Amino acid sequence: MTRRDRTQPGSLAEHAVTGVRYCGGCNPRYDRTALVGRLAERCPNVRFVRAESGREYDALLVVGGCCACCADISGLAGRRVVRLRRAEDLEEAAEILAAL
Amino acid sequence: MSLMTGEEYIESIRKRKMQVYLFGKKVEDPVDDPILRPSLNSVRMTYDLAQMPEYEDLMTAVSPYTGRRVNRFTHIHQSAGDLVKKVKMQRLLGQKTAACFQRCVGMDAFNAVFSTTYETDRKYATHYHENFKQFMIYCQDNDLTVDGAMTDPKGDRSKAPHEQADPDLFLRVVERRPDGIVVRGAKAHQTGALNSHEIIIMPTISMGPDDKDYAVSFAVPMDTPGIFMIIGRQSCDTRKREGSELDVGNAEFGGVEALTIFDDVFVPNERIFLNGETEFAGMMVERFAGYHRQSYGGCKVGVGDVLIGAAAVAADYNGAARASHIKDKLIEMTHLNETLYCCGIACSAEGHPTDSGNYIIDLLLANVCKQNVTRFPYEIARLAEDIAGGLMVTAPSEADLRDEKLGAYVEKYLKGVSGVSTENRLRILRLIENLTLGTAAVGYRTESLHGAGSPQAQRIMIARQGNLQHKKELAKTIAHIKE
Repeated sequence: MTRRDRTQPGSLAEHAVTGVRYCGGCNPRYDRTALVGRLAERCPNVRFVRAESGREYDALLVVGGCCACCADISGLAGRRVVRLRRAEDLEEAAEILAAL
Repeated sequence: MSLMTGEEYIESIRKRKMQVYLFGKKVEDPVDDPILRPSLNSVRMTYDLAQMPEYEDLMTAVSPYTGRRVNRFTHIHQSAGDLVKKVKMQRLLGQKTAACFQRCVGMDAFNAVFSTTYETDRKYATHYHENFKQFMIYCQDNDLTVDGAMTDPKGDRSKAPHEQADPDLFLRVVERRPDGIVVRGAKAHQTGALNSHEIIIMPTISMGPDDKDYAVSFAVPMDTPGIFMIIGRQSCDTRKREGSELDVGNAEFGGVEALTIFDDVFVPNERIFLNGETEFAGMMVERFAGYHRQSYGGCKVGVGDVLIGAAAVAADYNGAARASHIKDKLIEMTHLNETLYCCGIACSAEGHPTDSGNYIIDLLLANVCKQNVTRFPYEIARLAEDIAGGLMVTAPSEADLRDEKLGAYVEKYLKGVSGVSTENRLRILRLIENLTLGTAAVGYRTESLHGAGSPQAQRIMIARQGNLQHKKELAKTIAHIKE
C-alpha cells in the first residue's frame, strides 16, 4: 500500500494521515471531540488533521454526533472512510486506523 | 477577507460609531457597557464556532457566487439540505448562548430579498436583484453581521400606512433624488441592530397603490448619519451593573432590543432593493416571515435544551430527581421541545426553489412551527419553574452569600443534597430565573409569542395554506357523497 500523503510537505513521514470531518454538532449524543481524542490516544501512528478538499488522506474520519451522521463530505477524499456515529464505534475505528 | 474571528468581530463593531441611547443617556462605549456586552457576546459566538472544525459543517457554507467559504448566516440557501442545516445551526447556537444570537434576521432577510428582487426586476426591469447581489457578496466577503428590520411601530392598526395620523409611523421615502432616496421612520424590537455592521430594511405589511412611499427596501451601514437606537428595558437588566456573576444567571450571553430611528437617512441608489413597487411588499413580508418562523424551530429549541438541562440539574440538587412526577415533567419538556424541532426540520426538508433559484421553506409547515413556538416555551418554562421550586424567586443575593455574617446562614439553610454546594444550587436557580422571567425571558417567552409575527398572523397563513378544499373532497369520497 502506498501512502502518498505522508510524502507531502508538512506531513510526518512515519505517520498515516487521517482527515477529520465533524458534523455540526446540533444535538450530539456523545462528546465528539473527546472521542476523537481517545481515538488519537489509541492510534499513535496516525496524525489527525482537519479534512480539506483537494487531497486524499490515508483515511477520512467522519464524526457524527448522532446516527444521522450528516457531515458534508463532498469534495473530501480518503482511501478508507471511517465513521463515528456513537461512542461504541471507537473500537472498530481504532482497529482500522491502527492498521493503516 | 476570510471568516472573522470572534475578537476581530468585536473590534470591527467597536470601529462603527453607532448612536446608542440607554436610560436617557448616550452610550459612548456600547461594546464595553455591562448591560449591552452580553448581547455582543452572543453574536460573537456565531464567529467563534465558525472557526472550530467540530462546528464548521453547520456554521459555514460555500458561496455559489464567489466559491469562497462564508459564514452560513450570510448564505443564500441552495437546497433543502441548506435549510435543514440552518435550523441545526440555530439549535446549536441556542445551546451555546441560552440567548438570542441575533444573526438570523439578516440571513432570513437575505433570502427573502434575494428572491423578491428577482421577481420585481422580472416585472419592472428594475436593477434591485443586482443591487442586492452586490451587497450580499460584500457582506459575505467581509463576514458582516446584518440586521433584518421589518417591524414598523404601526400606530393605529386599523389604518393603512398612508392613512396614519402621523405619516412616519411606517418607515417611508420622504425624498427621491437622482442619486438615491431619503427615508424617515422607525423599526421596533430590533434585537440585532446594536451588534450589526449593516441593516436591511423591509416593509412590514402588504400594501396598496396608495402606500407607494412605504413600499421600500434597502440596506445601509448601522453608523449611517441619521440612524440612532434607543435600547429597551428588560426585567432585571440593571443586575448586570451590580457586578454579580451569580445573580444575573447568565453572565456571558444575552440579547437587547432597540427602537431604531431613521431620521432622514440617505440611501444611495445601489443599495435600494424596492422603491414603490407596492405589490411586491407582501411577497417580501411573507417570505421573510416564513423563513423567520422556521428559524424559531431551531433557536428556541437550543435555548429550551439549556432550560430543560437546568431544570434537571435543579431536581438533582433538590434531591427530587427520582420522583416520578419530576421525571415525567422532564419528559414532557423534552417532548414539547423536540416537537418544535420536528416542525423546524420538516418545513426545511419540504423546501423548494423559488424562481430566483434559492430555496424557501414550506410555508404551511413553517407557520405551524411558529404557532407551536407561541405556546410550548411557556409550558416548558412553567414546568421548569415547577421543578425548580419557589427558591428561584426568593433566594438571597450573592452579596448575602458572600457576607461575613449572613453567608453562613445562607449556606446552612439553602443547602440541598449533600455533595453540592449551596452556591451551585443558587447558580442553577438563577439561570432558570434568567430564562423564565429575567432578561432572557424577553427572548424565550415574549419573543416566542410575538417575534416573527404574533399568533394570529400564523393562523391567517395556516388558513391560506391549509388546503381545506382538498380535505373536504377526501371526506366526501370516503363517505360516498356525490353532489
